[in-house]
Amino acid sequence: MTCKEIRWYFEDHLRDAEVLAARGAVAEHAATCPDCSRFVAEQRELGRSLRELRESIGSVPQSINPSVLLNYRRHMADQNAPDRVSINGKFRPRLVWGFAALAAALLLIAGSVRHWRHAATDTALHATTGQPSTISVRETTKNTASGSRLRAFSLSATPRRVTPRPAAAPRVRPSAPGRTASWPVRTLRSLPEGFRSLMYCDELSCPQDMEMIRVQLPSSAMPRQLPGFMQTSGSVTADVLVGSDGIARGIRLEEIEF
Amino acid sequence: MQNLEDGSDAALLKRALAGEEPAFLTLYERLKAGIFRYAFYMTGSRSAADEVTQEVFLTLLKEGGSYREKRGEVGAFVFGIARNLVRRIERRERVYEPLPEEDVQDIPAGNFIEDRAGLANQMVRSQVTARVRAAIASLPDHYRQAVVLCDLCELPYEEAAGRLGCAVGTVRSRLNRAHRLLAQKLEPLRSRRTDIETTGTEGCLI
Repeated sequence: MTCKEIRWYFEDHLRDAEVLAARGAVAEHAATCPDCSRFVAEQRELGRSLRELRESIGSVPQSINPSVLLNYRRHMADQNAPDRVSINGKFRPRLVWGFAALAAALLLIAGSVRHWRHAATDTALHATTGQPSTISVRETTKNTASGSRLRAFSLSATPRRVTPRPAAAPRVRPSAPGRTASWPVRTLRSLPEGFRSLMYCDELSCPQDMEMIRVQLPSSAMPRQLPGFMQTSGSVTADVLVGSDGIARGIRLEEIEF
Repeated sequence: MQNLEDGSDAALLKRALAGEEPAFLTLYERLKAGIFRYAFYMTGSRSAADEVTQEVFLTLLKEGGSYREKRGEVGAFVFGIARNLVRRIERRERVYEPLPEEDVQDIPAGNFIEDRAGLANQMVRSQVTARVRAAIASLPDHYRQAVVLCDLCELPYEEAAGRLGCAVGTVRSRLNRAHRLLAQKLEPLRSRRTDIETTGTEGCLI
């Protein structure tokens, strides 16, 4: 037996390495060849270690049998349940996702159509009336925690069909606390009495309640071009109308201290 | 039942999926030992092997419909599932340090006093087994797969090649290389065992 043959022999029969090592031809060659002797010893030891590892596992634990059987029964029961989405008795999760996606798409389309129709109705209303809505302005007064009084103006738009009529001068009455006054849109583009506009304000740009804040500023901070105002070294008290978006819409000068 | 015992794995799977419990049980009895052993040798943990065995059959029930007989045996299909589960467990467990000797075989208490020689042998054997297991675990994955399938699960080369999806020659060369690596890793163990065999275990026990 040659060195090469011994290597081939063990490669193919490692499981029987212990037996092979003791065989006459192998033992004879190993006795004369130190390399093969070491190789045979190595292979015999490896075969023995692997055998011991194989034997160490013992049998498959019986404890898993009931749970596997239970899993099988549950699976079969689930599969036969009528409320599951199935084709040919097989549960199809992809089908569920497909239905969900379809439902979401339908909802989206319905929402878009409704929004589009609503917008179209509004446009038609504007087009037919010219003065499509009125805005109610309610001025309320409330006491703050610090004792100062705050007056709030609430603007609410009410769609109304109005017969077009020739433009007339708006009737503006001073508003009393808790009293509501109505103006057509055109007149409301100017702010309540006494206020000067700081920016464009109509039912689109300031559709919600506005809050009035009383501020005290050094007169140097006031713009020089404000009509009726002369810059001094004193301070100015003013009411500022602030929209829900935090932008000041109008200002009314109350007091000037020198 | 005789009918079931003679049936092929594929036929049993088909019948099991159709709801025939005896067919499922027969298939389970045929495949469970191989799966358990493979999972145990790959993970080195009995609890992980339990988990893999259960999961494999659950997955087989769920995905069994996608099995095609012409693409291979049920055994190979199931092995693929087991291999994926083992990999998943290995990824999950990689972050934890293993407890030493977690799955070493329990030694019956009675043996401690009655049979000292037997106890010593068992201790040496447990140590050897743990070392061999650690050496196998430290092999690169493709070598480890070859050793586990051919040497430990005792599959023929052809079947192992089918499971691993490679040529028989590739399995042989991987196995050859793995044996060389293992022999190197187990060299200290060999010299130690030789010492114990020649001197006995008395010195160790005192």
